[in-house]
Amino acid sequence: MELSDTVDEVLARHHITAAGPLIMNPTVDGGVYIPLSIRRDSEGRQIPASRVLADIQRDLQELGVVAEYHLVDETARVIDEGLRESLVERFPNLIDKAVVSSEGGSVQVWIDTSHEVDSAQAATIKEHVQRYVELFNVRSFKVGVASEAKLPSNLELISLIRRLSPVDCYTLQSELLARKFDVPSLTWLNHKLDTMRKAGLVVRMENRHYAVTPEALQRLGTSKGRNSPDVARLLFLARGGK
Amino acid sequence: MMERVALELQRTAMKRRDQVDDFDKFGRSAFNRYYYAVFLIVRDLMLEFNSRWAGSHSSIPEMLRGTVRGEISRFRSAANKRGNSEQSEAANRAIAAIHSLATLMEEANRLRVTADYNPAIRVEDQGGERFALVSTNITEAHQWPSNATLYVALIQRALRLARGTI
Repeated sequence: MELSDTVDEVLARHHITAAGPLIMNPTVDGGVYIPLSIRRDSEGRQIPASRVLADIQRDLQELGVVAEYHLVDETARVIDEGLRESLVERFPNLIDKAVVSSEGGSVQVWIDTSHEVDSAQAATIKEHVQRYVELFNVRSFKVGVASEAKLPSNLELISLIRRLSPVDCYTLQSELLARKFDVPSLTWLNHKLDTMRKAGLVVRMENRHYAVTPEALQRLGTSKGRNSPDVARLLFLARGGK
Repeated sequence: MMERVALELQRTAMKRRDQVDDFDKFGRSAFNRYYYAVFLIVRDLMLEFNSRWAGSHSSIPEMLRGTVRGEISRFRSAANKRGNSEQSEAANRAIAAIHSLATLMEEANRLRVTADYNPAIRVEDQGGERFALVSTNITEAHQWPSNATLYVALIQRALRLARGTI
């Protein structure tokens, strides 16, 4: 039997009609994508249900067909697009880019921005998303602010100092830039270092080199195995601190 | 770079929308190149994760949801035990990004397979600056690489924190 006949038969058994011609996937043995239209009921549940889709996959698997779906979800697409546009329009000076993706009735939003987003602004953005998704039957949503997108966090700074110590602010700056972080200025970096020193996370030595404190090591933690931060530190020392 | 190639193909397709064969071939090639742009972005992440990585295209989403997520989950558990909320927040963001990136890879690969191996399924003109392949608009494909870049950055930062390789 032709692969497409097999798929049609199994779909018919589950009372499902494909939304268009099957898409053959020769990169996988017996591979095929089934185009399907997705709707949602008044409670936001997907029709056909994920369980039905899994059953069809299992039935086809037994017949040697590796089926995946190409789900055409017009409603989700309209929601995603509308939300993305509304975010950029509503917060033109704050949001450079909004990425919206939804799956299985839950929406994920990523905000990318070149400014620091404070917690009040983050809350306003979240509220905007909530009001928007409430208009539709979206079951859950999550907003991630990829804030301070390019600035190193305190955690990242301590982690870098742990590996490179003792290190001065110039080396630290060039190492950060090499890792594609933004460093607004040396003043900015020194201010950060000063704050961390007052918080007892780093120490400044006579020659203005920095190292982490036991407290910072404790907070950073470590792990075992090949990818342990201790291994990264040892490798750095073994290379003669370069 | 590859996204610029894709964009050129996208523009050429628009310019030749009256010649149906040219329109179709340039249009579907644009989808192919947008997928490849995503692949190159994600490949860097996979190589950083495991320098000996030599997996197939189709194994990436599975590996993201499996071993990559696993390492970051362990980091999150350890961070929670130490009460380091900053670290576990970074891990949370990365885990959400892993999910989005895996889904994006699957979608992009599906469109690439359609474009490359299913010539009977043609690119549809949707008017304006838009055309689509199995109802995925080229404007969506155009956003794949920058979205992938955002997700990869979030995953990379958590991974580097976990490994102390920042």
